[in-house]
Amino acid sequence: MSELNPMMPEEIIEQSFKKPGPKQYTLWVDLEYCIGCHACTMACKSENNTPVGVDYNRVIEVEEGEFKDSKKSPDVRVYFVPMPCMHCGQPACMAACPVGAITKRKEDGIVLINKDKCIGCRYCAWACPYGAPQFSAEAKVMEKCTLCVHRVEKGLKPACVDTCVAKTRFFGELNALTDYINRQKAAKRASVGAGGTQPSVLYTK
Amino acid sequence: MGSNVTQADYPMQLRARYLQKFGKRVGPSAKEFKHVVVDPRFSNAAAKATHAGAGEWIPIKPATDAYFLLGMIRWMLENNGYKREYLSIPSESVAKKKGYRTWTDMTYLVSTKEPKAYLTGKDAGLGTSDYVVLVNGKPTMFQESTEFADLDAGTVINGVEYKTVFRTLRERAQEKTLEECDAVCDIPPGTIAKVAKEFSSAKHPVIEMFRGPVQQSNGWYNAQALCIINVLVDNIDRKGGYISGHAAYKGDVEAPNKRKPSGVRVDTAKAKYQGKKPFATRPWYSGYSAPRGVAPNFFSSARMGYPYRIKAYLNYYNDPAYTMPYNQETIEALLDLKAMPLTFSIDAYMGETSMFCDYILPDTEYHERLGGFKTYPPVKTQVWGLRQPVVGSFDPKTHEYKSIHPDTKMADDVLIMVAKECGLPAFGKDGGGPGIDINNSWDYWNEYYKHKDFKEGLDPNGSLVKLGGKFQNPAPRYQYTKDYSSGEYTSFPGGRQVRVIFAYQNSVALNKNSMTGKYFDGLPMYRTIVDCKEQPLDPNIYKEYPFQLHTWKDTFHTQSRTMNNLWLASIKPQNYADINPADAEKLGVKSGDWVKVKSPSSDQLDTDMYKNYSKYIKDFYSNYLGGGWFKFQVRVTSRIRPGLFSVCQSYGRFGAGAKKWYMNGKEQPNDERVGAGFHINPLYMADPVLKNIAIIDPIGGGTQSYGTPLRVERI
Repeated sequence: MSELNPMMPEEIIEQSFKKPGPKQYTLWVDLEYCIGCHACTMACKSENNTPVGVDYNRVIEVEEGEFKDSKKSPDVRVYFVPMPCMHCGQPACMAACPVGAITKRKEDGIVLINKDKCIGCRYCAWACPYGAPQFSAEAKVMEKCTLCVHRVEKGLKPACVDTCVAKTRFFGELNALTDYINRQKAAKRASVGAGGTQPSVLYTK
Repeated sequence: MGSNVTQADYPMQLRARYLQKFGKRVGPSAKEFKHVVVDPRFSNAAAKATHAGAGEWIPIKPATDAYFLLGMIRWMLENNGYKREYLSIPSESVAKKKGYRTWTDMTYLVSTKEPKAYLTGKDAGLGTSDYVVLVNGKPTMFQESTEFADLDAGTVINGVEYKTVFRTLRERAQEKTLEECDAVCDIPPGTIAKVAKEFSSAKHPVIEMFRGPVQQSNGWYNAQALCIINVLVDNIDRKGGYISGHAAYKGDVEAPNKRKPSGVRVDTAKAKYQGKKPFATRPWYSGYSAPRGVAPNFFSSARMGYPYRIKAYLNYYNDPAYTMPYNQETIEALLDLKAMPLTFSIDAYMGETSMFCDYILPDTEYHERLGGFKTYPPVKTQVWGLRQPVVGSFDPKTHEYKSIHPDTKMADDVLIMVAKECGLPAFGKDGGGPGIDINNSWDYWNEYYKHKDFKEGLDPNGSLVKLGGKFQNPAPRYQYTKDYSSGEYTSFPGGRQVRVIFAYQNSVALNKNSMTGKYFDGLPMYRTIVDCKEQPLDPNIYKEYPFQLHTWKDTFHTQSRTMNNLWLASIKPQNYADINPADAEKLGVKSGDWVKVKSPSSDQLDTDMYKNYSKYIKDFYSNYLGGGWFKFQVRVTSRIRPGLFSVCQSYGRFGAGAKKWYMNGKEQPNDERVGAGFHINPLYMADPVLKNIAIIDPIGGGTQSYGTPLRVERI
């Protein structure tokens, strides 16, 4: 096998970049292969130089099942779930912002916070079901994952995708990724819940 | 087994990537692939193994590894779960004839009388040979046998009974039943038999380890048992088998008058007991089995002046005051002027050890230096990574390293300056030979990279510097060889390809425990925790101390070098004592509650043994309650098997800027987030005989890292 992930051909990314807008850039995270190393979180902090306490990306651990009796086989499962901004179709943060500082770009669907307009009221943090908007105590404004818009505009993948040790996190255009996942019979879609905002990030397990 | 492949591996989590390959069903045998994780903790690897329902987590009780492994061996030997033809090969010539590259010692005869050594040709009256085998019952020198030798056999020569290694191993494995093994490991009955059956019938079975089985008082034998399981299924050096890795590229500084260390080491490693009494009062470790030294014994030896008093101590790269299990002995030794009269530390931070030292020589980070990095077993080709500083720069003429901090030097530069000052012959003018001066780190490594496998030195236009190392072509044809009819082997360029694999450890069987005068055994033994005299712990201790200490590490931290990176610290702002829900119910606690915990030896902290340290202990451990009790905050999780008190390392720092510290009366940068959480090391149990050192493997020198008894009470 090549070191590239066989589940994700490079053509999908090329197609995604070439496709004319309006479109939705997003991420696909395959939970089966995330090893919980947090390299994406660190790559994100490094790329965006975020202060301590402001994390555009986090990896949460979800524990299922209970194991109490050593005489029985354990039934425990742990999932590592990377949590970037979902770049939602109907962003709750955008609806909650009283000053219109949050916008969803038509050309690529990326949700961005305009720091010049933001007043740091944190309504967006309350509204977001995924904990994406983060308050920067230094700048007194909200910040969040930009899908590495500065890289994507240059035709580069987001830093978290490039760094992923387990090759389980992919960048692409929503429809291209969805088509590809649907063609993969093995990949089952997983939900991160609270679908009312139409989160664009795709999870499979 | 005790190998956390997705959390701790390098380079670049390679084994995790191999596992992904199997999981993604792209490898040749991916559909049949099953990953079984034997670990007291549901590690990240266990999470991946069980994700799709194919793998399994076996939550073994700490320190019972030998029962699991020897139990597997027993099942395999009794149920034909081994490669009979392979194990019957006595010699290189027979191996070659039958299409094998390696062979084993399974047919070699071993004495049943101590010292239990291999029968030699001389002792059998046959001629000159290191080993004797039986061919159809007839003693034959191994090199003269032209066919398979008898596997499960024995004979009497000159009144002494000799048995083949195979038979000796079978009898050893049969000392306990599988039911006993399952019970000692505290796993569901039938687990070991099931695993052994699945393992030995798999197409490419392999059982691998890292420090889990080894860092125990029975660690040497645990590792040996694990390797023997691999030997039984003929997967050593095989494609898809157990690969020990091969030699890295090497260079050298061919100084004509290099001086080598001599004499007895303070940690009594690599030496036999040389005293006048019949038995030693302290342990001595053979160089054969403890090649890296026994660091905990250094500090207890230094305190006791055994075997002699030391005059000075130079610390580099290490932080034993924090990292050493039962670290009170380390700290007391550093505080005791008689034990360690003069101390130096080369450190990038004011670490726990450095803060006790007389002189501190500020270091660049350990990555900011010249050097290299060898290959690890997951890499099947020959490689060598070149390490070069990236922050500072070199003077173009003298090649002196210039740091961005004025007082900082690379550790190598400090050592070379010391060597020059001491007049050591391999340093300074003409140190590397006529016309080759070794005045600094660059000079040294430039010379090192001109010899043996390297040519160009640190020439910026050479391929070594340009590529950042030397790498063999990783194409499969360089990784494996198809020259043998029995199957593919790894190529191992630079390593020993054709070799005999020893299941029996003759050198260990010829060595004695220095404190009892009894010979060690050449085969693995059914043992859990043993003290320095190889006695099991008093079973009554578990009545008073029913919990077991357990530790692990986060994926994103090293033990002592990363917590002061606040980005990393922010991933998990503090650690907890992880306990199982069953224990939480018994104790009546929930996540976030506080408990107090002590070990059978932690109350020694309040005695005269630690009279200097006890004055400061509450400054370092704010959770110390006195009387040997420490308080911890618990987290209840099914990721830990019942009965464990599991605390991950890297947290609860008291140096490296975690607490306030001063230089020339001026407060220096510090941040309490560095010291968040809890540190378990003072709760390691001391050896019941030696009292002032953690329990250590008398053969291999590894520390009993898990399973020492603890008493836990709700506050």
